[in-house]
This record gives sequence, structure tokens and C-alpha cells, in this order.
Amino acid sequence: MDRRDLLKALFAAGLAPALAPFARAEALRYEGPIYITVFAEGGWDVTSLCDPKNGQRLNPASGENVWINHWAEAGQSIASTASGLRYAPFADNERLFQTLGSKMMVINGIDTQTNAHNAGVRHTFSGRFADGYPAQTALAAAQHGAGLPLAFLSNGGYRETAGLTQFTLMQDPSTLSDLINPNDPKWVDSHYHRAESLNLIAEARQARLDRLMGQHQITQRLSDAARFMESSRAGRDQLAALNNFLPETLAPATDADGRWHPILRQIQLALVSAAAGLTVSADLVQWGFDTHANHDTSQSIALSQLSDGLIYLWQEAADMDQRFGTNLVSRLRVVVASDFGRTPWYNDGDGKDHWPLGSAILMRDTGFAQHTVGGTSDDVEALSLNADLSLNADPQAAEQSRIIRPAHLQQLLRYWASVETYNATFPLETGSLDLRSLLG
Amino acid sequence: MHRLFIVVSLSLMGVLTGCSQELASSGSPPTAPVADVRIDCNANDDEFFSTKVWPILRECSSCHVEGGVAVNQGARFIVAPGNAIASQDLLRDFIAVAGDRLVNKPTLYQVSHGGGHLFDTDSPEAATLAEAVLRYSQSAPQCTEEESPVAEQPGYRDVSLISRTRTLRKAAIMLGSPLPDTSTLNEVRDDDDALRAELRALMQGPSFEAWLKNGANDRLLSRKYLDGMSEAQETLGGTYYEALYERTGEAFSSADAAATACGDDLEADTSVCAYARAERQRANLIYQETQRALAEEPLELIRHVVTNDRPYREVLTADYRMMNPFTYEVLDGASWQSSYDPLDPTDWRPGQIRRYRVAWGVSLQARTGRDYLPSAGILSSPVFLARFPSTETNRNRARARWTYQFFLGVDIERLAVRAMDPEELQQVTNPGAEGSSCFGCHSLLDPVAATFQNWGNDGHYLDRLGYDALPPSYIGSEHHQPNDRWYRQQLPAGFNQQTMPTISPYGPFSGQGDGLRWLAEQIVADDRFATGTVQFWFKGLLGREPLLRPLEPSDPNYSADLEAWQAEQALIRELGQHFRDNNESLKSLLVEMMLSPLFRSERFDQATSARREALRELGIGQLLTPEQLDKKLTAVLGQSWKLDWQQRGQLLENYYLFYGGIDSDGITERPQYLNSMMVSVTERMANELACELVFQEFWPGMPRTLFPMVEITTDPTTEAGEAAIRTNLQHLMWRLWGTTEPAEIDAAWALYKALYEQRLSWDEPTPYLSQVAIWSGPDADPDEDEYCPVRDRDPNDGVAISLNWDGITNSDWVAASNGNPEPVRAHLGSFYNPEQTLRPWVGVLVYLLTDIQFLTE
Repeated sequence: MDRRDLLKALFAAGLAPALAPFARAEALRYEGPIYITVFAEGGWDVTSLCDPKNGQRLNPASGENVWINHWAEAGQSIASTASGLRYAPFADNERLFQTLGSKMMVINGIDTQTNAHNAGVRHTFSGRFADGYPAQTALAAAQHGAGLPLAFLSNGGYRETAGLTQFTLMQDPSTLSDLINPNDPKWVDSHYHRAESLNLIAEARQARLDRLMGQHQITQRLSDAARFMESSRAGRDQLAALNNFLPETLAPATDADGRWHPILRQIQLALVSAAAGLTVSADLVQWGFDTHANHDTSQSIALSQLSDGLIYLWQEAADMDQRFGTNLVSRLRVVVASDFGRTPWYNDGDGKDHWPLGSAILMRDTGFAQHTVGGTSDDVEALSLNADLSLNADPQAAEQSRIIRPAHLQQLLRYWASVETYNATFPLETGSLDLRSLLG
Repeated sequence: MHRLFIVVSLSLMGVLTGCSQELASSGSPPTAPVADVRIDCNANDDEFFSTKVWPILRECSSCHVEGGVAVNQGARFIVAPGNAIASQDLLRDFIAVAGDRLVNKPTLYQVSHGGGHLFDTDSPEAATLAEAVLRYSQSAPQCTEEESPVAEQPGYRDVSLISRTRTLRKAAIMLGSPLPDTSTLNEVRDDDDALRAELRALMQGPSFEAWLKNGANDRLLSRKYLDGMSEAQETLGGTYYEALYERTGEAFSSADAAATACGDDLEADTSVCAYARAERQRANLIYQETQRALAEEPLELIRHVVTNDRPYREVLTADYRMMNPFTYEVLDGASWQSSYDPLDPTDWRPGQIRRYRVAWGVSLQARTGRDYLPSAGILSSPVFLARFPSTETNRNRARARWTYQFFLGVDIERLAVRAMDPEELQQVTNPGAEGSSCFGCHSLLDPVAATFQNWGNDGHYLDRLGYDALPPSYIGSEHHQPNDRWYRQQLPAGFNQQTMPTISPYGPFSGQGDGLRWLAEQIVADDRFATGTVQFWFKGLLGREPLLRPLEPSDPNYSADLEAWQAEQALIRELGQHFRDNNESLKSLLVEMMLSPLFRSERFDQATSARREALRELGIGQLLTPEQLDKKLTAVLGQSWKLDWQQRGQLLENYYLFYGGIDSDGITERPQYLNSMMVSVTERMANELACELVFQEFWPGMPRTLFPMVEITTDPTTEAGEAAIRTNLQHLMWRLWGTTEPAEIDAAWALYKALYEQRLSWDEPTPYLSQVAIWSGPDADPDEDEYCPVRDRDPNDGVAISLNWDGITNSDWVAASNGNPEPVRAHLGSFYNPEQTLRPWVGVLVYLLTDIQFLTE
């Protein structure tokens, strides 16, 4: 029995998932949930977004009571959606929350326990400080995307895969079309090879990979390279499905003021790939949140572009559903998070520095029973959760073990993505706090 | 060392197409060609020549000498009487152009020889000359199956390495050099010193320089201002660099004026419009090359230091800045003593930034007494400082962090990876003050940050009116004292517990230059500068970061990971010591890195899965970057993959980001493994290249790089044909994969044969290399299409490639129908292949080009 036959037999016996990361799956159109992580790069200011603060607090540097936010100092009030989701009157928040608030669950008061960027990103998106744990999007692609050519799209951010899968950077769609069928010349309606010849070449290639991977003494690096080539090649033919969904016009790469605004294009390509049934998960990035100076101006731009992206994501998904009869809107599972938060005061340069407490926003079409979970005190200090996951509003009574940490967020996200089979390999230290019931 | 002989059926290399010489009338036709040729790998080329070839050639010298009868009759083969060394060189030259005619002539095998029959095809003399052809042929495989050595370094003794010849081949490919020739390979076969010398010899020329800059940019990411969303001139700005826009502005103004003079139609065929077009082109060139020169300045400094064999420390201590005419004119204008071409982007020389003002209307000289900005190599590079900017609260800590990382190999953020005390995180406003747990790292970081004190948040020198680089908010605070250059609350400038000498406690550096020069001197004197340099070049040379110290003892692979990390750290220290002992020569360091298991590991003798996992990024299997794959194509195929109108290959243009390129801005990490998109790129690459290569190489008169041992007439159904094809497959595999394993040759032969037999099984397979239905009439079946680009890729190579359909006569077709394709082939060349021998080569080439062993090294 060769490797291919073995895999077929394993699939037939229902044992294939154990080998899923490297399995040569037959062409399958993925119809399950689509997991999207939006990374707000640099540390977003959640006190001007989803954990709004309109008061003053002590600035430990100056020893004075200061306004946490200038918009509050200017007398603006915290707003809320009809469902009671509170948001800051800042940037383009009103459009964001009024448009998408019903799909959201905001988790506030996530204590990343650091103010270093790399550590914050690693902790938030993997659930621990040490290296090596995969992102939830990588886990989802490994679990559900065997054989898919574009199972995990990544535009940056934390994309550790722990060797379970590989990521793809989606770029220029005009070039993309050249890659869908590399046997077709670009400017001649023809083929480089007859199908029968290609079959012989393909068989020889597969036999070659089998021989190579059968050599147990070769470096792991070459062995892994061969295995990833095998899985990538297995799904490659499915790229043709993209043809049905490629947009006639590309989303703009700049915003109305001419600033670089790439997230719309990232979203557009991710949705095209998801519509084609080729993608399980995607990492999107909105840059520009590390606002140590001129905070309000820079943070406002980044938040507005993020809002723009999130609204576009759902709108474009709905449009594609209408155009193509796809089912994207109901399949989207979105989480937005950042390195950490920003200080609840301004520094001398009117900027805000790093603050360990941040938030995450989860989104799905049907929304959630609970719109807001967790929180911070008026001084933006950590608060803990009660046994029923309600907020214990007394900062003095905060129980360290019941403060939301990235491990709890990742536990929730792994559950959401049905990838808990990996918990044994990548255990999370969550203690007694468990947020999974929030997903219903 | 175990030795193997390479067996080649040289006789099957065939005669050159178009040879019209008749067989000599005297003597009978040769009955049997030379059967098997062996290269004796125990003898190097010189030994082989002096002991075996020279005795034969001496006999030839009666006719084949300058003025001799053979030369007077047009023979190209010449011997230098009494001079074996010169004769060996002459022999190499002859073989390069005439190949196996060296042995065919004196044996009268299918060609005539004015000197008549000298020895038989199966004679020892013929075998010797056949071996000479094989040895001196640029593209022949040579003793490639030498034994793999075992690593000697502690921690790697369970690892087998690739052979010396393969190491040299891999190094050449990684550095973008041509493949080493057989003579060179033979020299290094069992000699580490020779290998060292040849590795070192690779480190010169434009390809190496490009590799250096690519590797450096993978760290410094300064090409953000060339490839990313921010352009260099815009980033640096004209406020301080007073003449930055002078040249581009003038060029575009001139272009605009010329365009106005031309009128609406810039393409009009008038001298005025031609001038306008030239001016526009010139302006665009100035604009583009100015961005490039600014963005690549720190990369050029590294190139300058390394290629001039200067101590590597100079990348930090250089008291000059690298400029080409595009930046020299706008930043300096006074340093260069000799003339230059103002439009030559390759003329890089040291210079200084003189055209700088500290504020509008206030020159650097007027405020500081300095004629030019102080320099401390990369540390004071404008784009380095811009790429790693600061803020009023970051206070140069990011710059200090990257300084530690790039030049000392210390990742400050990983010194203490742990959860911080939340109370402390929220209350500590000065992590550089003693008493908090932040202090451990910040006591290292903040003093270094302070040495950047003269450089503002955006990287401008003394950007507060030439007095200092402190923000106005601090100037107005209670902490600020007159003449301060740094924040009073911060740790004073220093490094490694040495405080930077200053005029006053927070005042300026008390020596010449500024704090960065002092910092640079401290860094290069630190032991970690050597190990940091080793680690800096990991990414460029080995395609990965150094192993991270495992932090979590509960991880299942912790012990194996720790062992691997410790071994690698020991090796890095050893390499660092070598670097120090060799006058901080980066070339010497790179050579040792290439000799180490980091570069050469191929097999594990008896490794557990944990051990293998711990060493998962070791040795061969390194995915080539698009830059490296582009160079490899040229090295092994003799041509790149690019469209006619492109300056660079498609891997660097259309598919660059798809294939793992970076823009040094948002995309800064390269993938380690292929994904489906990348696989598609490789398939398109192979499909676009393979048939064109076959068509070109088999065209009469074209040099053979990939197919020197077969002809269009080589019949795979014969024993001799199979032998020739197998020999050529061995040659191809060495070139493309670096291995010649018999099982893989068997498999490639099986593919060739299967493709060949498949064609014969088709009903009337096309006799042409290319068939396209839409050009072939209504009855043509698109499913039978086999497109092949037919063009003369290099019209200047002396061999015209074109299909002369009109020249084919009816009798030519009749001959073809009677089994003689040559009359038609005289007009169509390799395009006409009723034997069906070429398309299988196309398939085999696609197979080889898309293999993981081709795409990795």
C-alpha cells in the first residue's frame, strides 16, 4: 500500500483527521465557518472605542488628575447602540457600532500582562508568552482546510503555524489569474501540454515526493518542504474556482484622503477565496495604532480605517451572497484584537503609550446573547468576572484568577473554531475562568 | 574516502549537427565507439593531463602547432610544444567549442581527419581523450557521488553533511553565482582549504553584492522607502535636507518646459518632442534613482565594507556615508575629488551630508560649527533612523532595541519573557528608574537609547533649531536645564555599564562627533558584536533566524529544543571567534558558516523524532527566495525567466510577493514553505521555460547547456540511446538538483520513456514542437494543443533562429515521408521532430524544475 492508498484508507476509516495537516485531500469545496482575525497593529485605544471612558484619573507621571480622553474633556458623551453596546464618540465609531453593533460581542478588560509589542502580540493571539503556539486562524486552517490551496490567508500579524499548515499572501488579482491555470499561455488560447502528458508528469512528481519523504534520514527541513509542496500541489487545481468570483474592480488601496488603506483589498481577496470554497481562515491587518504622539489624530485615522474595513467586510460579503448565491455572511466568524491598549492619559507629546489592558470584538451575523463581557474600572484597571461571567465592578475585589487574560480569549476562540482537539498539544492555562458559554 | 567513478557513454554524445566532412577514404569505418568513459576521481585535472593526456598530445604536435600543417589547413586544435600548462589551457578551449571531436577525429569516428587514423575507438588513447572531453566540458557531471562527511562540531555529530562539491555548488546558487565548473569541483573534492578558497572566490562581483544587500535589507528593511508605501525623499523631507528636491525638481521643471514646447502630442516625430521625451525620461531616472540611493545607503555601506575587505566593524564606525551621484549632489557636493557621471547610479563613494540645515535659514555650520553631520555607520543613516523612528515617550528605546538586536544579537524583549505585575505595569511611568521589575531590561536599553540623543524622532540631527533633539513639551517642563541634550529623568547615555563622557551630566558628548560614534566604538569592542554579526547573517544565508531559547519546560520537545539551542549557540560563539580572529572579515565568516552544519546538514544518522523536530530548520531544504531562484535559473539553465520588455525576471516582478518577496514595509517576513500559489508560480515558470529551452538548445549551432549528451536523433528505443539519455539526465540532475542518485535517474528515465511512448501511441502525433488549434484550421482539436514559444531569444548570439517554411520543397517533404527528416529540418531546425524525441525532454524538464530539490537548496 503506498502513501496515497494509505490515506484513502484512513479517510474511509474516519482516521484521516490525525493526518489532516499533510493529507492529500481530494478537491473539496469548504462550506464551513470562515474565521477572520483582524489585527489592530500597534496597540489600539479601547477607551476611545469599545471600552469608553469619559472621566479623569491620576496620571502617575505628573501626579495630577487628567482627562483620559480629549473627547470627554470636550464634553462629548459616551454613546450606545439600541442593544446597549457602549462606544466612544470618536473617529468613525458611530457608523461602526450602529451598523454592526448587533453582530458584536465586546470583551473588555483583557489583561495582556505586558506592554512590549512582540510579547503582547504573541500573548494575545496565541494565549501564552512563550513562542511556538499557533494562531487560532492557523489551527482552524489545519483542522478544517486539509487539501485546500488557500486554507489560511495571512496579510501579516501573528501567523505562527507551528508547522501545522502554511499561509498564503493574496496579492494582485490580475496576476492571480495567471496562476489559476499555469498550463495556459498568457497570450495564446492554447496549452503548454496535453492533459495526458501532464498526467504522466504529475504521477512522476508524486512518486518522487513519496520516495523523498520515504527517506527518513533526510533533514526535517527538506522533508517538511516536500510535504508542504505535496499538500499545496494537491489543492492547486482548485484555484480555478477563483475565476468565478474574481472582482471586476479592485477595492481602493487608499482612503478618501489619499492615505494608504490596504485592508479593503485584503478583505476583498479573502472573501473571493472564501466564496470559492478555498479558504478557512484569514488574518487581516490594520496598521497605525502605535500612537505615542498626536494620539487623537493618528488613532482616529487608524480606527476609522478599521471601521471602514469591518463595514466593508460585511457589506461585501452580503453583496457577494446576492451576486453569487454564496453564503458568506452567515459563515463569517470575526475577531478583532490588538497588542494591548493605551494609557488612560496623554503623554507630553499628546500621545498615549502602552497599557496592558485591551479588548477584543467578536462578530457573527446572528450576534450574541451577551453584547459586552468583562470591563475595566473608571481608571482603566483590571476587573474580574463573577462565576456567572458578570462583571465584578469593584477593582479592590478583583480576583487575579478571574481576570480575563489572552489564554481565556484563545480558549474561547478555539472553541468557536472547533479546534479544541489541539488543546492537548498546545494547552492553555485558563484556571477556573471559562468564557466558552458566551457562545451559546 | 570512498571513491566512485562516473561512467559516461561518451560515444553517444553524437556528432555536431551540420558537420559535412566526409569520412576519410583510407581505412575502414570505425566499428565500435568508445563504450564507457570513466573519470578517475583520484587524479585532479593537472595530474590527469600530465600523466595521461600530454603523452598523447605530444604526438599531435608535429602537425597541430602554430604554423603546422594542420593549423594551416584550418584545424582549431593547437598544441604548445614543450609547454604542458599552456597545452592544457588550449585543450580546454578546444573542447569548449568542439567537444567530442577531440576523440572522434583521431579515431575517424564519423568525421575525417587530415592526419588519418591514429588509434581505434576502443583504444586506451581514445579513452583518455574521451575522459579529457568529459573532464574539461563545462557542463559534465564530475565525481559527484563522493562520500558525505560527518559533522565534527559538538552537538551535530549525528548529522551527515553534503559533500564539498555539493557545498560549493549550493553556495554558488545561494550567492547567485554561476555554477562551478568541473575543474573547480575537482579541486575541492577532498580539500577543505581548496573549498574555503573557492567559497571565498564566489564573494565578488555584482551577484554577490546584490546578495549582500538583499540579506542586509531582510534585517534593516530600508527598502521600505523604495518598495513600500513611503518614498525616501518624502520621508526625509526638505526641511532639514535643504537640497533634497533640488535635482528632481529641476529635472521635472525642465521636462515640463520641454513638454510644453512640444505641444499636445509628446510622441510627435519632431526634434522638440524627442527632446521632451528624453527630458521626461531623464527626470524619471533622477527621481527613481534618488529614491533608490537614499533607501539603499545603509546596504551600500555594508557592500562597500565587505567587498573592499575592510573590517566589518566599519559598518558601525564609518565616519562617512555612501553616496552615488544622485545623492552626492543633493547631500554633499564637495567631498569627491575626481569627476563623475551625474547619471551613473553604480558610482558609489564615501561622502558627507553637508547640505543640511538645522532650521529654515539656519545652516548646520552657523549653529554648530560643523561642516557636515557626524557619522556612525548604519546607526546614523537617515533611512535607518527613519525606519526605526522614535516618539517623545519612546525616547529612542526602539532604536536601542534594534541596535541590540542587529549588532549584538540580543533581543531585549526576550530577555525576560513573562507576565508582568499588573499593578506595576499601570503605575510605572519611568521603566528606567530603579525599583521596578522593568528596570532589568531598561537598565540595558535606556542608556543606549540616550546615545541617540542628537537624533530626533524622525531621524533629523539636532532638529530643535540645532540646539538639541528634545521635544518642545520637554523643553517647557520643569525638568529641562539649559544645554541639556537628554531627559533628566532618564538613565544617562552609556553602554555596558560605561557612561558616555559628556560635557555636563545631560549635556552633549564630550568627544568629537556625537554619542553614536561613541556607542559604535563600544559595540564593536563588545564580544557580542561578533556573535551578533553571525546572527545578523543567519537570515540572508540560512533563510531563518537563530533558534530561540526554549522557555517552557513543560513543552514536550523542551529537552531536545534546549540541546539544539545550546549546540547552535556554541557554534555561533565559535564562528564569532573566527570572525574576530580574521580581522572581522565578513567574507571569512560567511565561508565558515557555509562549511558548518548550519548550511551543509543533509542527513541524520539515528535521530529521534524529537531531535529531528528540534533541528527542523537545519541544513538542506531551504526554500529559495524569489531573488535566489531567479539567479539559480540563470545559473543552471543559462537564461532567466523574463518577458522581453522586462528588466528583471518575472519572479522579481509579476510574482514577487506571491513567491515570498517582501516590500520591507507591511510584508517583512518570507514564508518558509511553499503554498499553493507558490506552487502555481513554479508550474507556470516551468511551463513557460521548458519547451523554449529545448527548442533553443537543439537548434543547430546553439551551445548546449542542458543537453550536451543527446541529439534530436537519439533513439530511446536503442540501448545506446537509453544510455545517452540516462547520461544526460545525470547531467541535468546535477545542474538542477545537485544530486545524481541512481534511483532518481531511473525515475526520470522512466518518465522520459513514458512520455515518448505515449506520443507514439497517439494517432498521428504532431511532428512539430508546437501545435496550436486556433492557428491550425477548423479541424484541429484544442485538446491536442502543445504550445511552445518559438523565438530567437538572443538575436545577437551569432545563431539565427527562424522557421523557414517557404524554403521547404516538395522533395523535402517527400524525403520526410520516406523517413528522412533532415531536409525539412534544415529549414525548421529543432521545431521539426517527427522522431518525437524532444517533447519528452520538455516534460522531464518541467518535472525537474518543479521539484522540491530544485526549489530548495
